[in-house]
Amino acid sequence: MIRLRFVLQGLLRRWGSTCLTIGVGALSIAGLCLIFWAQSAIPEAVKTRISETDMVVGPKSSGLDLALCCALQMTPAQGLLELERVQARLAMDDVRPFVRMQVPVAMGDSYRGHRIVWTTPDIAPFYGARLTDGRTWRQPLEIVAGSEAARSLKLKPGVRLTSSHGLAADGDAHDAAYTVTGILAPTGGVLDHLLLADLASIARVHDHGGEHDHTETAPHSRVNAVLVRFTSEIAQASLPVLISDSETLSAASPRLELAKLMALARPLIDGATIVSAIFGALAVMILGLSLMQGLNRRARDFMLLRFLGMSRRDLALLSIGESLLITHLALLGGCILAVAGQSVLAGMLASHGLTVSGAVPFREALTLYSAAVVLSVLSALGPTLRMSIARDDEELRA
Amino acid sequence: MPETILQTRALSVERGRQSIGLPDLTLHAGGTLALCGPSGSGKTSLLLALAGLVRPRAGEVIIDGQPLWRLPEAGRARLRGRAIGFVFADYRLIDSLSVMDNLQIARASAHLARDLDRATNLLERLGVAPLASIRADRLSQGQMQRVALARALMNRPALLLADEPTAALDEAAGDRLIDLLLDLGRDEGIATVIATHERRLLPRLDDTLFLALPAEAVA
Repeated sequence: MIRLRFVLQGLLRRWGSTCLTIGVGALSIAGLCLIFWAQSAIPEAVKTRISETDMVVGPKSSGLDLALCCALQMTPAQGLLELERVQARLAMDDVRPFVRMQVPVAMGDSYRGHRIVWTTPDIAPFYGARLTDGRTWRQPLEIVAGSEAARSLKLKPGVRLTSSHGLAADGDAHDAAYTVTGILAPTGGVLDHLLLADLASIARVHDHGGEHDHTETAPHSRVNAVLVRFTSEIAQASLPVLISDSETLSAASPRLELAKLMALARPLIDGATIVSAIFGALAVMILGLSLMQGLNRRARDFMLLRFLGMSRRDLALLSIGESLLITHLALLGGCILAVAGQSVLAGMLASHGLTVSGAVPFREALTLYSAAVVLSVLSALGPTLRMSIARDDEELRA
Repeated sequence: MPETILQTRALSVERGRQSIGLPDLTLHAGGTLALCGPSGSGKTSLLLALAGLVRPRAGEVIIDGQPLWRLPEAGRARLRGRAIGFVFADYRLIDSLSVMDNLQIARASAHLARDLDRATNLLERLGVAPLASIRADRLSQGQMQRVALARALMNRPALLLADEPTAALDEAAGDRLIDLLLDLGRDEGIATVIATHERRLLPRLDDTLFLALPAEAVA
């Protein structure tokens, strides 16, 4: 305990460099933690959300737009197309053998920030979802809520709700009211955040006598996209290309599109990693200098400890202990900053409907901790070497 | 026959380019030895050799039956922590710690458990018990030297080495400190070696082996 107090007093005497070391170290650790977390948690969350959708077929637009809008339900819908035209294309001989399931989706309205998707009852088996309460819709203006939507909106069968135009929580309200008929069990996927209603609801909700401009929705013959599940993985690469040859249709594999997006983000991630690593190196340098400064300032105290019975090894351990104490304070600060940053990032992603959870992967966390401890010990080598070669009589007479 | 605490055999130490030879010494428990000589005569070098901190050019130092310079560095440190107390001319207290912590760090440095009773007892005997919780840098010179003496005695050493212990004190305070040091040494059966250039102190050292060290000779 008295040794710890001796070390703490030493750190307090040079509080400026101590705080700088801890601050820079904490920033580096927080940065690396966030990068490790984002690298594992975001792709995992995205993968979970799109795992059931092998292909999205929609109007002419970019593949990434289709994937983000119709598979991930993150961005506004881009346009409409005739459902019959898509169904006809999917029924052609070159495509049909690969299509296991298909389900149309149309979007454009929301209720308190949760997107309403007009679709068919096939969407539940498409996503492997089952009802946990109530029943599915049987007519227009009946609605089934995903588990997360039901939880956050406190929905249960029998509750009536009025949707609003657009995806923002403060959009113009419609006159017609929906009645909740069922709640889905959690799937861990995109469905959890959605409110599902029949395609025929579109016309009922938007029957305003023409005073309301509703560009994203349409009568139930027109939809934003058709989601497709394949019979074989082989179709992932070829089928979207084949369908996109059409003049009016685009098709995209969400998995491939998001892989491309991740590849585009790679330089950004690498850049952030390098910046965090530079901060880490800076922290190690400052730590080494701070320890040396501490040794210089307390040379007489260290010499005294030699007289009192400490060996050079004891003094080296004291210096290493001081270094490890600073490192662990930086690790603690880094963890706190990382958790705060994680919470902010997760909140930002959640506002786009992407639930990201989980911690920094254990292997990366262990690597980061081990590297911090090793670098901490290495930074104490300078003072340790100096103590091992210093002559006691010279130190005494200094 | 009192227990033999310190023995030297054919000891010579380095001081700059000089080599200082020393006759064989034997110091028993409770005995005192003065090393008297002018500044630069090698008194401190000799004390450091006796403490196991500066290797002598030749010879042997035996403390409590253990040949000091045949022990490994860690062994010498251990013996120094447990068997040798050291009093410096400039006290060498750790400013940022309290008086009590300054005493307890002597225990910790020697890998011994805290001993509050011993510390309190010593501070009381030296008249500085009320200062136990005060930071060392707030003490007067005389108080600092008393605390430094208490710290030197904290681990019940067999040998006390004092390097010009009165150098920073006025004559009266120096005399009082020497009285305390010798009294405590006799009470606890500690062999005491005092390096000093103040010849007036020498008569106070009863039963003392007088040894003066000019630059190149041994008295």
